[in-house]
Parts: sequence; C-alpha cells; structure tokens
Amino acid sequence: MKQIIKLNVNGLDYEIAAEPNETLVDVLREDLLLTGVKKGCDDGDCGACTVLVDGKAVPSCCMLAIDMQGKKIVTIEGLEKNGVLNPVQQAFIDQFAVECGFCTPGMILTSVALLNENPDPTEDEIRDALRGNLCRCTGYAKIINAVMAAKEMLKEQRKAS
Amino acid sequence: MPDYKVIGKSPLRKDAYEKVTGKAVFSADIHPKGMLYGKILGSPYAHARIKSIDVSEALKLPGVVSAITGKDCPDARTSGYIHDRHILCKEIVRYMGDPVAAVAATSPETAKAALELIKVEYEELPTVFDPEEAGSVGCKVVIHEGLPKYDHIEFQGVWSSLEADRPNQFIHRKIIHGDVEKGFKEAEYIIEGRYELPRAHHCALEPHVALCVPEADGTISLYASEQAGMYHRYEMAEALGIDVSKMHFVAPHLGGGFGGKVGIMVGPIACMLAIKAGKPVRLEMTRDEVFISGNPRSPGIVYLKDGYKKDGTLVARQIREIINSGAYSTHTTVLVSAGVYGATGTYRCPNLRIDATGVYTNTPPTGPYRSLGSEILTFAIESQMDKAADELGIGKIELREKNLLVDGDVDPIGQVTYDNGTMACLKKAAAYLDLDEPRKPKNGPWAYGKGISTGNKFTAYWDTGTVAYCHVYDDGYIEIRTMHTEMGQGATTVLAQVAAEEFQTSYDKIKVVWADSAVCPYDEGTYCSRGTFVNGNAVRLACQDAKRQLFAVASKIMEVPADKLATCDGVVYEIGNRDNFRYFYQLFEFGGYLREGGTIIGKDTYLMTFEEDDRETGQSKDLITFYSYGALAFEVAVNEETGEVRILKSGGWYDMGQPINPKLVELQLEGAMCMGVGQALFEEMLFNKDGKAINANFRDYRIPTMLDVPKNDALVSGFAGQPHRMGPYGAKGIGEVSLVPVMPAISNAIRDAVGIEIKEIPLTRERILSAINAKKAAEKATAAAVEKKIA
Repeated sequence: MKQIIKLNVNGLDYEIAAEPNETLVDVLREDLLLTGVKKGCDDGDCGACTVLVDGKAVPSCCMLAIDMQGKKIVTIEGLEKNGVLNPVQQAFIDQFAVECGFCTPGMILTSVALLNENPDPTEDEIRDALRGNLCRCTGYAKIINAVMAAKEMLKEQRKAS
Repeated sequence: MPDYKVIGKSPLRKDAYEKVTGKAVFSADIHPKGMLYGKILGSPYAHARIKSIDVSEALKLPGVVSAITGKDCPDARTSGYIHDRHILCKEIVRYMGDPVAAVAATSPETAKAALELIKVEYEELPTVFDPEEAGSVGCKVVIHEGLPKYDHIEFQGVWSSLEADRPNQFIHRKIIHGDVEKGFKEAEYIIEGRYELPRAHHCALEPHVALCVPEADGTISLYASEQAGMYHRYEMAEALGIDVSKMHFVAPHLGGGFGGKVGIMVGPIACMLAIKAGKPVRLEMTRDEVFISGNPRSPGIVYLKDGYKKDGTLVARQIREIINSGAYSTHTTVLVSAGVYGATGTYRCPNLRIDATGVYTNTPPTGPYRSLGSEILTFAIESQMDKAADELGIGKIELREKNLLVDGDVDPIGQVTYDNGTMACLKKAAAYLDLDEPRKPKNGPWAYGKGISTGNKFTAYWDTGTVAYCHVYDDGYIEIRTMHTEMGQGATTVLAQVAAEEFQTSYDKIKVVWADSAVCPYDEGTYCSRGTFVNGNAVRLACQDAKRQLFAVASKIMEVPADKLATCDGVVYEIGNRDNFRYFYQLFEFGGYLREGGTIIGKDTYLMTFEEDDRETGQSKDLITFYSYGALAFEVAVNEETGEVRILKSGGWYDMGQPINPKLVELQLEGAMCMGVGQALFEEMLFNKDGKAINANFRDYRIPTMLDVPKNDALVSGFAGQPHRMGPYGAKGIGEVSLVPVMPAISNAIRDAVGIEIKEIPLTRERILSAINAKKAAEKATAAAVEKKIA
C-alpha cells in the first residue's frame, strides 16, 4: 500500500506516494525526475546512485524512501548554487575527471562529503573515501587530481571569507 | 609539428558541464508520458526445447499492459553476421537467461511480479559448454541445427564459413603467409604454449537500456544505449520487419560501452512490447542481466608455436585460436575474423599461419571487448616471446626490436608497413622500466619483477564510408552533425576541435549534434577505435564542402574570386588583404537564409580504400587503413605466501598519430591501464556445471576500485609516434590499443618475479599461489630424487 511521505530534497519539500519498500533511488529518479542520480547496480556495489543524506554520502539504492523523512537529501542537481558550480564540480571539469559521466554525480557527491569531513585529505585518504564509487573509464587518476584541486579551491574560499 | 589553432590542445570537454551537474541525458533518464516498464523472462536451462508458454495469468495482474513471447515476434531470425537469433526464443533456448518472454507494466515491481506468473514448460536438451569440445569434429550436441540454412550476411570483409563435420563451428578464418612448415624446419629453436583468456565483462557503469516510443504516425522511436549508430537503425528495422524510414533511432549519452553495447540486445524486445502495448516502454537490464546477456568478451584459447633462429630472428609462427561465442554468433564473427591482425601488425614473420575459429556453446553469448580479439592473440604472443628471450639468452627488448616491423617491411598479411611507431614506444617503455638496473632483492615474502609488452590494434578495413554534415550559421556558429555516438571517449569534443581548426575559429563556436537518425547522416558507430580517424576525416571533408559554398556566396558579394578567399573567427576575408572581409551575417539575409540556395550545409563521405584480401590466405597489399601501436611496462611485487600482486610502476607509450586532445588521450590510456589491471589479476565470469552464472554482480565479479589501481605517480602514459598520413591532422584511434598490451605486460612482470609462467588469465591469487606451491613441490621432489641418487 502506497503511503504519502514527505521528503526534503535539494532544499525543497515534496509529498509523494511511495510503497514502503520503495528505494530512495527509484523515488528520486522516477517520481521526482532527478535523473542525475544514476542507477548502476541497484545493489549498493557501484556508488553511481550516491546522494547526500544529512551531509553523508550514501548509496540511495540501499535506502528506503520512507526512512528518509525528516532528513536533508542533496542530489547532484542540488550542488550548483545561483549559477555557480560547487568547487568539486568545477574541478571535475577543469581536471578532465569526466568521461562517460555515469559515475560522475556519485563521485562528486562522495568527494563533497569527504571534503566536508576532512578538508585536507591525502591521495591515500581520497582513494579510501572514494573506494565505493566505481569508474570504468578514467583509471581514477584524474578524479584524484580533481579532488586535490577542489580541496585547494575550498582552502582559498575559506581564506577569502 | 604544424602550428595548429585547436588541434593538439586540450580544450575542456563539450559535455563536461552537463555531466557534472546531472543534466546529461542517458537513455534511462527519459520518461515520456504514459511510459511502461519492461522486464524480460530468461530461460532457467542452458539448452531446452520450449514445449509451451502461457502468459494469460501474467496479463491478469493489474498494471500489466502487454506480455509477449516468441510467437509474437517476427519469424525471420536476425542479429550480426549470421542471422541465428529470434527476438524472443521460439522453440529452443540455448543458454541460461535466453529471453523467452517479456512484459510491460505500469511499475517495475508489477512487471517483475508478472514474470513469475508466466508458465513455461521445457524439455531439457544435452548441453556443451567447453569450446574445444563444442568445436570438435562430430560434436554430439548441436546448438543450431538449422545453421547451414540461416541467412549468412557478408559485410565489410567479414563472412562466416561452415565446415560440415564441425556442427558448432561457424567461422574458420585463415591467414597464410609464406610456408610455415618450411619455416619450422629452418628454425633452430621452437617453443609452444597454450594460452587462455576468460570471459571478461565490459562492466560499463550504465546498464543496457532501451526506450521505445511508438509515435502517432507509426514511426518507432528508439532511445537506446547502443554504440552502433546508424547501422543499429538498419539492424533494428530489419529485426522488426519495418521500413527503415519508420525507424527513428537516438543514442543519448552512453554510460560507457567498451564494445558491450554493439548489436541488438534489449532494443527489439522493448520495441515489440511497446508496439503491442501502444505505449512507450523502457526496458533496463538489471546488473545481473548485463553480466549474463550483455555480450561480454569472448573467451579465447590460443595454441601458439614459434620458431626462431639462434640469433632471435622469428622465422615461423603458427596460431590456432578457438573463440567461444556462446549461444549466438553476435559480433564474434568479426572478432574472430579481424582479431587475427593483433598477430600480424607488430612483428615481421616470413612464415606465418593462423587458423582462428569461432564456436557456439551453451553459455551466454559473447562479443567484442575493447580491441576486438587483438588482446587475445597478443597475450599469447607477448608472453611466449618473453620466455623465448630468456631461453635464447637474448634481452627481452632486443628480441622484440629485432623482429619489430619497421616502415617498408612487408607484414604477415602482405601489406607494406608505414607510419609504425612501435619502436619509439618500446624505447620509452624500456627506459621507464630501467631494465638494466639490478633486480631488487626479495623483501620477506615479496618478490619483484618487471614486464614489458607491445601491442597493436588495426582499425576499420574494407570500404567503410562515413558521412558528416556541416551547417554554417549567420552568427558565426558551425554545427556538425554526425551519427557517431558519445560514450565518454570524447567524440563530440574531438570532432568540434577538427571543425574549429578547419574554420580557424573558436572551439566555443562549434556545436555538435550527434546520434539522432532524424537529423544526422550515416555513421556505423563508435567501435574499433574508428571515431577520430573516420569521423574526423568526414567532418573535415564536410567543413571543406561548406567553405566552398561559403566562399561562392562571399565571392559574389565581395567581388573576389572564391579561390582567393579564406575564413577565420567568423569572417570571410581576401587572402593577402585582411582588411577586405565580411562577417558571416553579412552574407546571409535576416533569419539566416541565403537569397539563392537556401542555406550552407556542407556534406561529404569519407571512404577508406582497400584491396580485398584473398579468402584462403588473408593476403592483401592494402587492407588495413591504420594500426595504432603501443608498448607498456609494469613493475610488480608478488607475495609468495599469499599470491597477492601489487603494481609498483606502470608506464605506457602509444602511437596514435597526432593526439587531437592530449588530455582526452591520457584519459583513455590511464583508463585502459587500470581496466587491464582488473582483467589481468581478477576479472572472470564463472559458471556452475549447469551453465548458471555464479558471479553476476559487482561483489563477486570485482572490477578495480581506487584501491586496486596504480597510484598517480605510478601511472605514467605518453605519446610516441608520428602523424599518420591519412588521419585528420595526422590522428589515429587510441581507445582499444591502450588495453592490448596490459595483460601480457603484467603477466610477464609476474613471471619475472616468481619465475613461473602462468598461461591463463586472470592471474588470481589462487592461481599464482598454486603455481608457486607446485613449483616448490617439484623442486623438493627433484632435490629428494638427487639426494636419493647420491645416497
């Protein structure tokens, strides 16, 4: 039986009807049409469906939508603010960290969560934090470069403010 | 190098912004009004006769709109070079997972529940899984009884070839150069080996998707994650039995392909469901369906026999290859037929014979994987050459250099080698590895080793034609239209660079419209590393045609002969008198039309030249348009107690002619090296004795994570080579060759470390450890025997 649930996604409140066993990824993609959330395995193994829930990067295919009430959800669509990209997004562009783009939203959101928690990660720490996000195209090197570059951009921003 | 404006620079990707914001549209992101969700029912048996199928209970489930079986599908078989497959099985299922029915419903859950209500009765048939048994003379299990009567399609130099006494073999490709028997008689040292590569999966992150929209006018629109461009549109129209003009095909962004999205898989089933329902149907493969039915790389077995002179000159080489295509031939026919060039494009050999065969088994169908079989033969050749070097007492680099084809040499298919940069690549790889440095001593259980390999990948032989359009707008923008697909390789960026260079204008002024058959002209698609070369050339020609039209218009207005005009930055100017110029808008009327001729749309075809090869020997003087080449070096540490392998250094140098966008090329190289690490060390699809896939998910079939690949300072890549005389600005393809040498280079490094050659990929911990233990046991037995003798 479908129930009405309330979700806060990218700063907006939504009321939607969802089955109790419906996963967050399906609600985001099929009901809210936030298709920047990708579905690569539906099993928590690939990281493509990563979203931020209260600032933590989680695979949305392993979360029930009904359990997400009262939490703040951010998808890739919610990162760009007033036409300005999040530094991680900008760094992914600048550093050529994008190929097919299917892992990119999850990769970026996991990086955002990492840099919130640890503003100055080493290469090893980045690799450890992003180990659950699979990429088949890039070999990861330029993704590391992007996170490193984003980290520097954020440092500059903090200095400036 | 000429001073280019945009070529050889690395402007940012055209599609980067949309991809980092989640705005890029992939097939599964499209959600038309009234869309239904499709699901496929696969066979639970590897080989069986369908006695009956009943979908009536499924149709009664609320929310189910259509359910189809083989009976609803066209009688004509289709797919690939041998039309051996119905859209859904009609009488026989040939692998576990073979689609027998499909449903469309208002939700994915309902569709899934409906599958369980479909009743199918089967009569099991005997199976054959082993490719050598399947390909044997008089094999009792025959997978396609009707094979000789199927339609066999000859296309671009690839044809099937049956042998009456081998019922499951569908192609036998031969290369015969010189006299291999005579060669072995001349040889002073002969070495033989059997090498095996497994069923490895592309694991593109995006699962295969097809969305079919039956339009009001009867057109069938298909949005699908498909690499094969306009070719796919024709294939689909044929499969559905509809007019090509009624088939509208769009390939939105593809989330990776690597060869796994070539050929019709979910597309026809989605279309049959949608036509029956009269509503749009989206059919997404689940990850386990991708693993099973997504046409992973064909497993290959290679018997390799080499004959050398004592000085290391290769005088004879004989190869027998057995490729396991699984239950259907798909595009394995071309993998078998063209994979042979992996063994003919790098080394000189006066006497060479290849017998490459493709066979059916009751395993899921397979197909091309980023290098089209070149990697299978290269693994065998490069592994065995390393061993031969040691046994001949010649340096590994020296042995390779001695036998490398250099410009002017006749290669083993009879073609004269030109623009071959392997030597330059090999020298760089050897320097990176510092082979003269003394071997690192063992450190506890860790033994150290270095390995090297060369590799090549041919591209697109035969008379492949590709078309591009170039639309010149009054505001100075240039729009390129191509049916080429963008699957991450950066085609839209590279083609925009080519157009910008042709018009000497800013890269930002180029728009690329791609992969929509309603507005784009013919291209076969994104495979075989052909995009940059073939489409780049087509774009150049289309731009040149557009410029001719532009100058003809400007000539009248400017009263300057057209051949005295040139363009840059959105103006046409008089050569030698830059002050006499017109902006593009000054050549057009308001609204962007011309007073005569309508508008400016350049178009042209790029056609490759060829000389048909001899069917018995595969010899031709002009067959392969180009090879890309590379050499790769790995240093590894192997733990002799656990079998673990750590990559300490990896460096690859490649000749892809002039890199158009060096950063994008680097991405391809780094990506392939890491993909190759997974393939070399742990990737393999496994089946139980009934033919059931037992690791069809990312937990059990692991692909490299960030923790499994070389760290940034240990992942080095670069270019070595020269512009190709026919490439657009001298460019060649790079996507596939970058993977070819990875497996042998890693395998050679492991052999160097532990002194054992393991001829079977992947080199898992278990495999390495058991080889080490076997070696230790053998040494112990020898020592004991010696002791006994002494006693």
